[in-house]
Amino acid sequence: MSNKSTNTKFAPQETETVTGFLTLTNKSKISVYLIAVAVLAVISPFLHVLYLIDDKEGIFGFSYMSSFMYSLSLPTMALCSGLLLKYVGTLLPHFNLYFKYISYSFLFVGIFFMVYTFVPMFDFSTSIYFTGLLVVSVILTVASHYLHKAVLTTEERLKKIISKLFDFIILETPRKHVSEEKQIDYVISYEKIINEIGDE
Amino acid sequence: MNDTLKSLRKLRIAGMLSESALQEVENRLLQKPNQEVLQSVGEI
Repeated sequence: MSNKSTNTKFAPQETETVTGFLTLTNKSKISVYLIAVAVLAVISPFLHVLYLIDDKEGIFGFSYMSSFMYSLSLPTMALCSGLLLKYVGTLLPHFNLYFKYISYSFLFVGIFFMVYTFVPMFDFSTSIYFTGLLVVSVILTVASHYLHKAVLTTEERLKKIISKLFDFIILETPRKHVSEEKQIDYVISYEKIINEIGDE
Repeated sequence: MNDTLKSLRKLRIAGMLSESALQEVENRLLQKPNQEVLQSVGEI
């Protein structure tokens, strides 16, 4: 008789990537990605310091490498922040839409100034700056409007739910589901709970 | 003021309690002393 198992059912396996030294699960891959993006975001504004002592000739039309790195730092930070916010949005399904808007505006600002850094032929005209500013303002306004609305409606919804539960406890249950002889005990019990809530 | 009433008013102000539920408990609290008197009279 063959020793081979006839059981064809398997427990769901975590997707894994086998590298030379490490076996990375999806979770750890995400952690590495998040840490890398966060580190890049935090370090980028300081990278130009490397060229301050011994500055070199710049690239992409910049006179010095330090000025190029400085010009690159803020868009990098904005792009990384946008990516991080986009990821946070996926973890919060209720706020996904708002984080999407916010992350897009961060990404837009990052890309806008990245283009400015890597296209040395011309400087943006005032009208392009103002158009960019207007687009970002509109996106942020829409995002903040939805975020504010979400926070308020969530609170209101919770209050309505609590109110309905109290109606059930105070009005409906004693009339429909508690016998006459147990009414006093029941009322004492919910009064206790009300007092405990009041002390919170 | 009674502790329960205080808690109820807090909940009502916070919007977590309906007016009818507040009225119900207030009425019960008003009736309670009478019930206690009746009970003690009954025991005698």
